[in-house]
Amino acid sequence: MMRYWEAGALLLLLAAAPIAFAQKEAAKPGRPPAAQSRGSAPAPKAPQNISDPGASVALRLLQMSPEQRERALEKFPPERQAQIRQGIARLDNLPPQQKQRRIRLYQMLVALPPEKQLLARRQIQAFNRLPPERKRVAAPELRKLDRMPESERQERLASDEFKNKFTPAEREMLAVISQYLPLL
Amino acid sequence: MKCPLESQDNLELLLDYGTARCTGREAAAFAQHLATCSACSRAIAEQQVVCGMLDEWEAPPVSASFTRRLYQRIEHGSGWRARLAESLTGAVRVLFVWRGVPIAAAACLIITAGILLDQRMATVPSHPPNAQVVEAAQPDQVVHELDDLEMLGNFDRSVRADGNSKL
Repeated sequence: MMRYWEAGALLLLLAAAPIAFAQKEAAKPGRPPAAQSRGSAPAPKAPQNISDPGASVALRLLQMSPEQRERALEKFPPERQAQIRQGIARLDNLPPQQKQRRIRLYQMLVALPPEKQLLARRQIQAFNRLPPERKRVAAPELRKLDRMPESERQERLASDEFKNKFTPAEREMLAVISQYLPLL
Repeated sequence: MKCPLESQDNLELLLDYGTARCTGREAAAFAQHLATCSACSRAIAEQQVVCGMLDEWEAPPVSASFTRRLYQRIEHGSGWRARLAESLTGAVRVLFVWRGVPIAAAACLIITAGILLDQRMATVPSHPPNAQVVEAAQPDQVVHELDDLEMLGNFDRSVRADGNSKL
């Protein structure tokens, strides 16, 4: 009876080897590590390597040579092909720094959990729809909030000055964007 | 005297008869009964065979350390930790006798599988090739991603318009 116990224990120990290998492998960063998180919110995963396209098809197209891109787009309907070509060309024509910044923001956005992505996307759209005079007030506030430590950011969001300066919708927008897209 | 086998009373007489536990009047009465009861006679005869065999049996010698180890175990109790430790040391010991060979072979197989799995996973790229991913994608998905990039570009421009970005 004891022999079975011994053999069982030995096999269990040894069976742990491949599991340990697999876990070690899983711990390796396939995607970039998480960026600084705000409070208890899930941290957006800021890419270490800007050239890592992750799961994004658009970023993969951007990395391809024009010939490869054309071959890859062949299967798509013609009107979609034109639309995609235009979008890629707009990105390609950006100054390198601006292009990298855009890719980085995108990678941070898609690294969020789906529900947070939706929330952040809505608030960014809301920001883009603000009239120019409100954008001029909101943009510096956003940059200020982004530079603050979390506790200070919370204080600022709860302050009377902040409440008096912005509408409830703007306050929500600034809170969400500064929380989920910390690197502007 | 009532027959112990029939009445199921005084069955211990069958075991005690012929020993120091059954003497005097009781032994005499049972001896008288045996003269007339074949079932009890047969039981006594079988009992004597068993006793004879037990007398002839010799217990195998125990190892010199048996008593010491027994008292150690009693002293330390037989908690799960002690049993686990003993099992593990025993598991290592079992490798050194022939019965451990199949186990060692199985262990080698498992380790080899682990190493192969590790190497295979290390060689798998974190993302499939670009062309494959694009071919498998839906055009709407690409358009949606480009819209997101455009939206973020507008946002980035607006936020930077009034100052310096940190990126």
